[in-house]
Amino acid sequence: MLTIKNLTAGYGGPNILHDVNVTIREGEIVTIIGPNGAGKSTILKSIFGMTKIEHGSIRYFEENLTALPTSEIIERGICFVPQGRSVFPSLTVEENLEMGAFIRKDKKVVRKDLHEVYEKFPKLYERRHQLSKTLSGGEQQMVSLGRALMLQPRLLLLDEPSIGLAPQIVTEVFEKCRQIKAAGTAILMVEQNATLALEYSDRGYVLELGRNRLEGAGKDLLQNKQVGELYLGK
Amino acid sequence: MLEILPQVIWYSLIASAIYTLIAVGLTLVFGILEFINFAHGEMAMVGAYLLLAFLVNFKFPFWLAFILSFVAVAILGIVLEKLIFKKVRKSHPFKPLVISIGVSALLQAVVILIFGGGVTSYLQTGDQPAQTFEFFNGNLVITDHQILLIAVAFVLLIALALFLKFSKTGKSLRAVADNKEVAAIMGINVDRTISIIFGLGSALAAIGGMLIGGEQNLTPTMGLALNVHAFAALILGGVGNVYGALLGALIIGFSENFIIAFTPIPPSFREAIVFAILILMLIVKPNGLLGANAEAEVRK
Ligand SMILES: Nc1ncnc2c1ncn2[C@@H]1O[C@H](COP(=O)(O)OP(=O)(O)OP(=O)(O)O)[C@@H](O)[C@H]1O
Ligand SMILES: [Mg+2]
Repeated sequence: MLTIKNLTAGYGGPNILHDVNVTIREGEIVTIIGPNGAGKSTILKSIFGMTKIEHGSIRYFEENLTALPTSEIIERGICFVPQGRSVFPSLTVEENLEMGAFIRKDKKVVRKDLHEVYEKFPKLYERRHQLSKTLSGGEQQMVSLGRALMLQPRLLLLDEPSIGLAPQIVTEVFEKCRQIKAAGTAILMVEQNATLALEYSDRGYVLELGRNRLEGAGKDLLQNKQVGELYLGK
Repeated sequence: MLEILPQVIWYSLIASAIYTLIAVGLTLVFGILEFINFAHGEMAMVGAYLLLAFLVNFKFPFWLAFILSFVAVAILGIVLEKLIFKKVRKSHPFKPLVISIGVSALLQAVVILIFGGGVTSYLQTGDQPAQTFEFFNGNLVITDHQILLIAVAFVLLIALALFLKFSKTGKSLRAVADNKEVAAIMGINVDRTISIIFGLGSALAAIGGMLIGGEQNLTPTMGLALNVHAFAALILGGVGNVYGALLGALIIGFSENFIIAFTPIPPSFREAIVFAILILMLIVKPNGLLGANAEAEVRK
């Protein structure tokens, strides 16, 4: 559904990505791993038009995304959870979720979206009137996930969803990803927690210094000797 | 001594209402762009002079002159942002701050060119004298204009609070203030949001300027004093917080009027009093009364 082809991009200075290729098919979980500063986040930001693209293309169902404004990208069914604490801290949980459906004009539909997200995340319903900054890191990550699901996207971009979370919560986040996938949403994610991420992924890419290094099925990458030594601590 | 108390309280309320109207615009801009707009007080000054022009030169009815003035100032605020402040949005906050001082001087110069540098007043329009009401055996005298002033300020601040809390646009303003990048990822138009902030803040300041213009004389430098008070109010209350601006304005308005009424300190020390209070409070509570994280916000 999404094809990134020979992408060379940066932030106005030297290019960060060099001829990067990534493909996601419908219903897949695809994970990009790689060392700090490899350009993993830059790939996701490029999809959302937040970088300067020198050449290459980003196609979504035969349509070029690179010329579209953010609201149009969201409208086509792609939502993005950026790296780090990405909730709006001074907004309540419910207000955060509403912002996920900002591009929707119809208030009634937004109520329905809210209702569906609360069904997937019952804990968020309990805390819906609480300021987001008063939530734990794991709960905040659930708000970010729920907010990205408000529009029932077909493709979800997750930048390090497990960063800074306790091991038990990390598993919870990945289990949510599996449920999201089961409901028909494809996921492209970037992860430091490579072992666990690859276990949950259909396919994976290894990125180094802004270039494709390896790619393959999640299971195969887990068995791969090089990957094991470099990223899985084997 | 005590018999002047009701009057001092009334004047304190009037001052606080005006400072709040001006401080909320400053604090909204700071919340999103993290710089103090020194030209903001000039929005009050320009609003007051425009009202004068529409009333005296064009002989418009009051309500029309009032609406035209604050709409014009809202547009002025939006245009200044688009032409000038937007260019330095990504620079260190020191740049827009210095530029805003320049814009402030420029606006004063333009007003002096058009209206002259002297003191003017709405009263020259030959309106009937203000209607007054007396309470406490004549110890509290209230004019109809002052009642209007308090009522307008009160209604506007409540409307602003409701708008920020419940409307979709209001929520998106708060989201942009929290995190511009993530707000953009939600499809929120950040440029448009910043325009709304400047338009809204400028209109409120203009209304503050027009209201105070009915109480005092107009001078081309009146915006400076108003901005100093509003600035002190928002530092006291905690930057980036509308309720903080209100609280800070009440503290500034009451303490300055009480100190001038009940101590030998002369009225010409007004600004000095404001800064003395500010410095004292900052020693005791460096982040302002409601701004527990203000310092962290500034460093972000
Ligand atoms: N907004 C930006 N402006 C300029 N350079 C940037 C920007 N964001 C990232 N970079 C640079 O781009 C390079 C790749 O950054 P990126 O965030 O994509 O790495 P990453 O693989 O996601 O790393 P991490 O695992 O630390 O998140 C880094 O050298 C970084 O300094
Ligand atoms: Mg990253």
